[in-house]
Amino acid sequence: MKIGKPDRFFHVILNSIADGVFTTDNEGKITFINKAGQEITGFLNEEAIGRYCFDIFRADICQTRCALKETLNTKKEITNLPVTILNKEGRKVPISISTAVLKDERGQVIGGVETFRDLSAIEELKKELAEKYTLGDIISKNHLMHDIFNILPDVAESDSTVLLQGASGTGKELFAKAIHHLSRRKTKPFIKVNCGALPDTLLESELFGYLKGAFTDAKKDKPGRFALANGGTLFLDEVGDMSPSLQVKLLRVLQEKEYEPLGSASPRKTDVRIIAATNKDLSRLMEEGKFREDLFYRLHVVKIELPLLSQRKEDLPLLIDSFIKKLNAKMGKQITGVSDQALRLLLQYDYPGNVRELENILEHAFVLCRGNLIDQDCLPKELTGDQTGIVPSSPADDKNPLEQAEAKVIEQALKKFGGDRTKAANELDIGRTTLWRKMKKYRLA
Amino acid sequence: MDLKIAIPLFGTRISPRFDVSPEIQIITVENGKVVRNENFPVAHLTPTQRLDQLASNGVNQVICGGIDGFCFNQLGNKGIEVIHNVAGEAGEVLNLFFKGALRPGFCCNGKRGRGFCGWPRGLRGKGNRNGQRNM
Repeated sequence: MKIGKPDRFFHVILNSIADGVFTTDNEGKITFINKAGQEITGFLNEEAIGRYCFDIFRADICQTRCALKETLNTKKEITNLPVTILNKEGRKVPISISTAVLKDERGQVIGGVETFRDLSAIEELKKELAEKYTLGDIISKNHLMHDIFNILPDVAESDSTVLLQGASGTGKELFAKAIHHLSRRKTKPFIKVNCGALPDTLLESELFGYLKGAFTDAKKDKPGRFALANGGTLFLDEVGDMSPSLQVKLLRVLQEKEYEPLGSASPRKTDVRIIAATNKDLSRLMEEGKFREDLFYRLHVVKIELPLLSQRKEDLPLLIDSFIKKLNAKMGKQITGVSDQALRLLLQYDYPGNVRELENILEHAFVLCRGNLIDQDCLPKELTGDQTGIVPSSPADDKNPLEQAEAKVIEQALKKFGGDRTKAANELDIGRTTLWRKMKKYRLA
Repeated sequence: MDLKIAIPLFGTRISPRFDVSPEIQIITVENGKVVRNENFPVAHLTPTQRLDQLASNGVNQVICGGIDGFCFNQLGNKGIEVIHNVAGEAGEVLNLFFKGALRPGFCCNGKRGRGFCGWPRGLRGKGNRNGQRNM
């Protein structure tokens, strides 16, 4: 088969398939483009032939990491890489591309071939699903989270005090913001105070403000967060870290809807909705006498418990996609996704730091990632560390779960005996040669 | 007439895409003469930042390859003229522009008949010559 002069059947076959196909010569100039390719790009055969593929294809990766050039250099095929092209009308079209090298009868490289599939319909469906899975900035398809999504509009409307309980990084602040934006107070301010970050006296003046002359250096009046949040929502983060004396003052605001700025003789009225959050078990703190019972019940009007990320692992792909979009915009990169191996590692991990940890892991990967796909090498050591030799980018990667388990047991035995194969073989009750054979098989030698 | 022309670049060629070009060249023309020619690295900029950069530099003409509807309209709103879907070496394209021969959809490969740049084969005369775009 010669490029540029495809035989009749080749032409008919390629024009009858729904995927776009184009071939290039070694210079990257288009030698053939099929009918579907012309439809997807919007360029006619006459316009495309003889022109550089980047001028016609106009993918977001053309100028940074040309997939075809990479395939021609490495001789490795690329399959289903998601990219976005700009068609002739100036509309962005999401597609997935695959590339391969074209050789003549003598095995000489004569160019490359790129096939591409229009993903517009799939992306549209994905978008619809994503809308179903989002509430404000929160994304989830987990049933526990959906239970919360369902009650959140009613909670927001009610104006009651809300207690958000969840481990750090589960998104307490996002929920607080979502409640605020769903409530009638959405046009008024949303003010956040971290009760664990400030010493007691400072926190008091932050919350309630002070008047000129209340203490040395109080040279002018300073409004507190209660005053700033008037009419809106006050988000008290880490409320479990508040000192008993401040707890009394907060209780008074909740009961009487009034407070006294430092140095003021008269109380001030306040119209603020309180959303409190904590990563501690407040009922246990209450039993230990560290948290006031009456305040606990005042805050506990509506309690929302946020699940750990490890309890909603089905959300990982959605969250990863969303963070990639966010980080692309923030860091000016063009990352398209994560590789299969990296995704496997990300799904295996337990995330003690929850969604925030996932975001940090991806930011770490963004810094290290050179290509358009986050690979496992870009992930932090916590994810890859204890699995060295088990999930490497080697053929051993294709092991079935039983083999993986066997490899892990052998590795642990070897570690236990400091690499002594005789002792390890004895421990595992197998012969030394069998051990050696298995070590070789799993590349542990 | 004084002009400030911006050309998104990919190497020495017109970048195939306005929104992801690695570089942008801004050419200042005063009294019919090029008085300044500057290149800015813009790989890290988002489309909106690129638009702001052009506006803040006082650009009034953009010559580019592919451009999406959003950027095209935004440039229009800022009063910047756009000749889009142009391909080829930036220098040659610029010469054609100065001769008044550049139209949207122009492909300048430099090899067609004695170095002449023209419409893609078979399409001469069929292009959208008024520079307008159906959005």
